[in-house]
Amino acid sequence: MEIRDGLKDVNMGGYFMPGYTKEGKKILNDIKEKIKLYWCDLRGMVVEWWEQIHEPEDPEAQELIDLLSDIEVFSGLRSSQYLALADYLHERQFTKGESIFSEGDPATAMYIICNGRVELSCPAVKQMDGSYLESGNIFGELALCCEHRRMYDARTRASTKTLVLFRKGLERFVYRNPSAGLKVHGNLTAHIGQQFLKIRQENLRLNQQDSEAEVNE
Amino acid sequence: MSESKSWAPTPRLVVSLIHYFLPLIIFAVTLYFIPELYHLVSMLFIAVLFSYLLRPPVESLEHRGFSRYTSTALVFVVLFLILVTLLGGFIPHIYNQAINLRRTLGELEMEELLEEEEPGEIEEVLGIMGYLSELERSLGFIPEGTFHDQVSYAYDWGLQQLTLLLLTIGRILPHVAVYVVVIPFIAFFIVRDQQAIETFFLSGVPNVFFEMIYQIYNKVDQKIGEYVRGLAIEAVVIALLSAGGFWLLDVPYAITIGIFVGLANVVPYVGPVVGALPAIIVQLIETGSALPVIMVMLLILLVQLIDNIAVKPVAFSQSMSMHPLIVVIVIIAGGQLAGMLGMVLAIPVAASLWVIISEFSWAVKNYRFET
Repeated sequence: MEIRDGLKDVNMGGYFMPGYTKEGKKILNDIKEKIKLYWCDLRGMVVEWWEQIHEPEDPEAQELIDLLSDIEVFSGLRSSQYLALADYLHERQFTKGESIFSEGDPATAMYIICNGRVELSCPAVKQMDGSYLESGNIFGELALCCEHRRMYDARTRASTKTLVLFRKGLERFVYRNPSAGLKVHGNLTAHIGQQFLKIRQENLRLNQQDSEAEVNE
Repeated sequence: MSESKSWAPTPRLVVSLIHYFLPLIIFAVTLYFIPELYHLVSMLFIAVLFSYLLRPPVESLEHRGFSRYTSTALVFVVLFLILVTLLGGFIPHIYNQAINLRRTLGELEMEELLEEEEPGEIEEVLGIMGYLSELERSLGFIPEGTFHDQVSYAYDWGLQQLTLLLLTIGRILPHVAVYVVVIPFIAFFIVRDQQAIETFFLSGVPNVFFEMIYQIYNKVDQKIGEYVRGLAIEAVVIALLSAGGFWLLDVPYAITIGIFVGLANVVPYVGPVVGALPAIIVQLIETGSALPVIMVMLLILLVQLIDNIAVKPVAFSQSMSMHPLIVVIVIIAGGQLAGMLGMVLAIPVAASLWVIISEFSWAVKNYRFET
């Protein structure tokens, strides 16, 4: 069936205007979708080719791209998308021993450590004692997903430079760069899912330990 | 946890806060001592407000795969084309209407009429007078000519005010020309580099307040954006409705007065009254009888009704919920501090301050501010 076959005359209060039948509309939508896909492919190919011949010359930009591409949440983006994401990142410099956030604070942002050392601690969870994060690590990523309060303290143990990504910033990035945003959201979901599985396994192990202890008693 | 201490303004924090707010303080002091900078600052403020109008189409283009720079450039090209069309098509017509309106008002001074014409003829010119004189006679206790004098006085006052307004518009026209060129220029860079500007202003915030200030900034930004966009929608709808209505009622200079009513509506409560005056006076001069004037008043009331029932709830869903009394006080204060621009900016500035205060008091209760 061709698009010509899907045409019909539509009665508009006595006047007849050309219109589409149901099949005609379906064919038209299919064509539109195909054009969209071809356009996306073509655009992607052109951008990739352009980026291959125009590697960022700025060493700082390259350093930033290297840092972000090593982070699980941001993996798989193109160079231009990393640079677009960089617009939404805020640089923060902390001195040694400075608090980044405290348990109970409203959580609004994720932190990426560029250099330095950060200690995460929570009085209620002894397992967390002495958990240090270093360059290339992230923390507070749950803030990108939902409104909640911080569940631990974050304090620097050396002079530390971080990049901060706010939930609002990520929302803007996703709206303005939908394809990159989709990848980041996919990565974030996978990352949080893995964290959840780890916690679940740890919980099961602890429950098992408790029940074994009870049996022994 | 043992190292942490509850929040207190340490000397380092105080210094960093002063460092952050120092440019703002210097700017305010400079502005106070050099009032000539008023135009520059007002241009900057208008450009910022204007950029809020342009952000949605730019972001929408970005969403469709264009870069920020290309999106901004495309929106400005479209805007330029619209401006050129307006300048070529409508502006000469509006300009002629405005010139004629001013000439008509200049010629029809009440005092001249009183000097040149017999009292009976004036009553013919203003048909209401005859009715008022009859009313005086029938009531008996009112001295003859009281209504006549009062109406003449009110009419005279209205004409004076309107002539003054039109003279002011004539005086500020050269400034308007500069504004029309400079404001889009500034707005272009504000829209294009919005993210960089935001990062720059937030870079100086002390670490301990960073997340809190970012939240406040975003809420204020959202509120102002909603308000400005709502205001623009409202002004356009009111201008279209008023101009259409005036045209149907055969009011002279319908387009000019319609646009004026739309623009005046930008100032809440005060604006609609100021906007209605030219329409009423012009209709009174043109027809000289009461019924057309009453029809114009009814039309303005109807437009205000439509505005309050249909336009405002859609345009300003929840952007600025302030008590009417506070709104009026704030507008008067804005007018006294910074004239016309102050009246327009009063509401967004007051609402932003309110958001800052309420968010800050919420934050003080909810953040621990450990250093």
